[in-house]
Formats: sequence, structure tokens, C-alpha cells
Amino acid sequence: MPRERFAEALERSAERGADVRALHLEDLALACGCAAGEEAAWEHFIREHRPTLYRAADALDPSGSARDLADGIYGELFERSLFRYFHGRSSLSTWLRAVLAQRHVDRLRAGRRLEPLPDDESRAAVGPAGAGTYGAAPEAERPRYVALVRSALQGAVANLPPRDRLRLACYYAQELTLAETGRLLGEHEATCSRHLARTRKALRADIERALRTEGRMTEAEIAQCVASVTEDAGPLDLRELLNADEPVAVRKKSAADRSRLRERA
Amino acid sequence: MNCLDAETLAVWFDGGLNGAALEDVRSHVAGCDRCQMLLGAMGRTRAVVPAPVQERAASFAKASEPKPRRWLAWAIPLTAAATAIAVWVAIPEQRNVPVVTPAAAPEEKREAAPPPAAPQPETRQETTAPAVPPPPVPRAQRNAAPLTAPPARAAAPAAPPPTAPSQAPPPAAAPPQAERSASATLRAPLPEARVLDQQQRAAAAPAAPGDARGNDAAASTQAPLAESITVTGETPQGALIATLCGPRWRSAPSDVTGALTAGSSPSPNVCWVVGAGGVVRRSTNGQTWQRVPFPEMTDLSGVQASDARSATVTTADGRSFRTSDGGMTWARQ
Repeated sequence: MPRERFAEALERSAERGADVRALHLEDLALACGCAAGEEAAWEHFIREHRPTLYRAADALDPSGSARDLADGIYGELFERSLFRYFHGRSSLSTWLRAVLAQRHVDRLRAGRRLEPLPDDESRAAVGPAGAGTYGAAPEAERPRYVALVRSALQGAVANLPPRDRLRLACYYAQELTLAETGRLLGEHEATCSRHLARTRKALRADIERALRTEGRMTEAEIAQCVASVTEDAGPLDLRELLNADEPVAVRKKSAADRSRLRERA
Repeated sequence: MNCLDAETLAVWFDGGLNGAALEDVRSHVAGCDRCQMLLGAMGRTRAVVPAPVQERAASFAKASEPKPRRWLAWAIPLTAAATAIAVWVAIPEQRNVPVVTPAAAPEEKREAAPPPAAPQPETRQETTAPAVPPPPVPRAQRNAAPLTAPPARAAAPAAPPPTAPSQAPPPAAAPPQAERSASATLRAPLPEARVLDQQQRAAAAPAAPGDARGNDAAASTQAPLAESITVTGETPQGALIATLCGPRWRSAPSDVTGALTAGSSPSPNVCWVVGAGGVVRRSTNGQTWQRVPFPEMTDLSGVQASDARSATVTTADGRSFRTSDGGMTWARQ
């Protein structure tokens, strides 16, 4: 590989504020070699990294539908247009996974926009379907319980510090491991576990307080309500609540607007 | 802040983000559905990453954490030196063990043993008044290693009596060279004494024409010039092994908790060591140690090996046992 190419790559990395001492120089050299069309570099890339790309695609979607994304990425790599975005700040395999994850998520979100979002009525209608299995909770009370807990949970989550919300999102919504969650937050997994337990406890206390004050429930009703919703959360989606920067009313309105737009179209 | 691009996501997962950039990313992702989905997608692909990459990422993340202050590193050797001096001052017995020549040891044995309480205060007095050597203590008698020397040399008259205060010589000048070439008792610091002893051996070998070891013909038929060193005092096992077997020996027998008292290394990869309670260990590869059965549970004070199979072990009470089959059988001599 020409030294000039590698020097240019190092300069590009430095321009992006990368600490040269922390660069993954071997991977950067490999990327430079592949971008320069060197056969040996390509052989190494195909042997070491191409399988990683396709295994990652299969892990993202076991049905195989993400393989076309991997094909697309590999095609762009082969055309050497994608390698210039790799600056050696991470390992090449992690970068490939990130590119694939980004395209996969964007495709999922684009597909989700085309599907009508359920409104509150349809959400509430999901609840009573399983009525009778919620212990002593009367069937008629079930929609009210769900609505109250949803409102209380949303308020409690919104009041959490961003770090606690990120921890909840990583561990519960995105199902990362404790070690991965801890690494992203810069804390040990045991510390992460303790923080999660503390956050759960705080959420529970906030919800009960909200049910007591806003729902005007007695302690027995609170216990019944929490037990009912815990047994089957129904339409409650923690992932949605965690990202509810905007109030529910606004989200409902925007969902309705999108539905109207689709109807007009 | 905008949503994460692939590079930032990858750098974050590899632990390469820090400072304000890291905090910006965290605060953004805490409220961003898309970026949280990216985290989830990255998590689902974790299984495809080879283990070394994950370990590297973890170690890099660990390395990027704030490190403890290194400016106190200078205090480590200083503390070690202070500890060594404190031990040296607190345990005078170790450094006051008199130098015992092979010829002097039998005389010591013939003398009555001093009362048990005597050594401690007297050695303290010795610390402040070096001109008055302490009387021989039982440990010195037990650990003195005259037994590897031939009896004729043990009876040599040149050795000064160890109890004479004015004749307590420094280790380098005490025994005649012919005596030093066979065996010597060391005292702390052990490595220096060993180097000194080896130099003396090298100088003494051609200067002793009457000595059997100085005779080329005899040397060719007899056992090679094995290093046989008896150590007094207690030192950490690793350093002790280096002293007993040679500077390149580092690993000590892990199953020996008591004191090793002597060693003999007839070749670079072979070393025999003995110790209290009938402990005999042998290494034939320079790294691992084998337990060698010994017929008696008695303290051993010396060993002289000629190869990996043949060695003569001396007990603290002066008896010698020889094996020529690697310790399977022992014959008293």
C-alpha cells in the first residue's frame, strides 16, 4: 500500500478529531489497502470481515431479509466508495456492524411510518380481551387501570434523569446485556444492576403516588391496579414511553395527522 | 445533537468516546428512539464479533477511564527499601549467623549447645557491637553445611574457630581457597554472597593442586563440580531457589511451605533442593519440580548432586544418604 494513501487516511482521521494514538491502525491500513484495490488486502478483508457482515445481518433478522442490506454494503465496499468513511476510530468489524445496524433501523422505521399507529381506543380495546385473568380486578376497571398506570408511568419516566432513562432503554427496551449497558454508560455491570434496581423502585413509588393523588385510589385499589397491569401490560410499551419527549396528546395528534394525510393521498 | 452516525456508534461501542462528546451522545440517545434502536441492533449483532475484538474493546474502555495518579510511583521502591531496612533491623538473627567453614562445623557440634534464650539478646548486642560475635546458635549448627565436603577437608586445621571474637573474618577471607571450592555457608544478602562464592571457586580451582577437584583426571571421572550451597536464614522461596540453583532459576516448588536449606545444580536444567522435614525436590527441566521420597522425616542440611539421578543428601545430624536412581532408593553412607 502506498505510504501516501495511508498518510492521507491518517490526516483525515486527525481532522475528525481522532486521537492518533488510539486509532485502529491495522484496520485503517486494511481499509486503505482495500480502497486502493490491493488484492492481498481484499483477500484478507473477505476472509476476516465479510463473514462478520453477513452473520451480523442474520443476527439482525433471522429470516434473512437483512442480507440484502449486507449485499448492498459489500457492494459499496467493493466499489471502494464506503471505505473512505472509515477513519480507524473503531475496529473495522464494529464499524461494519454499525453501518449495517444503521441501515437496518432506518429501514424498519421507514416501514413503520407506513403502518397506521393504533389510537388510544384500539389500545384500550386490547386490554379487556384478557379480562377475567387479572385476579380480582373487575373487567370494567381494566381500561381505567391501564390508562392510569400508563399516564403515571409516562410521567415517572419523563422525570428520570437522562442517564437513568438511557440505562432503562438499553437494558429493558433494547435488551442489551448488563455488561454492554454498563460499558456504554461507563460503569461496571454490578453498578449498572444496582442503578436499574434503584430506578425500578423509584418508578414504582412514583406510579403509586400518582395513582393515590390523581387516581384517588385507596391502597387496596392501588395494589389491585398494579397487580392487574403487571400481570399483563397490554398496550403499555416501555420503549415508546422512554422516547416520549413529546406529550402523548401531541403524539396522538401527529399520528392522526399522518393518518389523515395518508387518507388524502 | 444529531442522531448517531455509524462511526460514532462504532466508536462508542468500542469505548473510544470520552469527555464532552460522550456526554453529548448519552444525553441524546437517552431521548432518541432511533438511536436506542441502533443500540439494540448493535447488541443483537454482538455474537458475530470474534472474542478478541470484544476483549480489546473492553480493555480499551477500561484503559480510557481515569487512571490513578502515577506521580507516586517513585514511592514504591522507596517503600520497599524502607521495608527491607526495617526487616534487617528487626531480625538481627538473620544477619548475625556466623560464617562457618566446613572444618569448623564439627567443632561446633562437639560444643555444648547454648541455652535457647541466649541468641536473641546477644545478637541484638551484636548489632551494636560487631566486634563481638555471638555464640553459635542452634540454627547455625543445623544449617551449617560441612557435610558436602570430604571428611579430609573437614578436618583441615586452617579454619578459625567460630567463637573467637577477634577471628571472626569477613566471608571473603575466612576459609582457605581449597575449602571454599568445595562448599560454603552463605549469609545474607544471599545473591551477593553466591556471586562472590562463585568467583572464589573460579579463582580457587587452579590454585589447589592437591585437591581432588583440581586434578583433571579425577575431575573427569568423579562427579562434575556441582554447586552445593547451604543457606542459613529464611528468604522468599523464589529468591531462595535462585540462590540455591542459580540466578536463572525462578520457580520454586509450590508444595513446600517450610524452609529449603540447600540446593545443588549439576547442570543448567537440573537442580536438587532439600529442606526441613525430609523435603527433597528435584527439577529436571528448569521449570517444574518433582517430589522425591526420602526415607526419614528429618531435617536435611545439604545436598550434592552429580546429575538428575544421583545425589547425596546430608541430614542435620550429619548422616549421608545417596541415591543413584532419582530417589527411588536411598543408601546410607
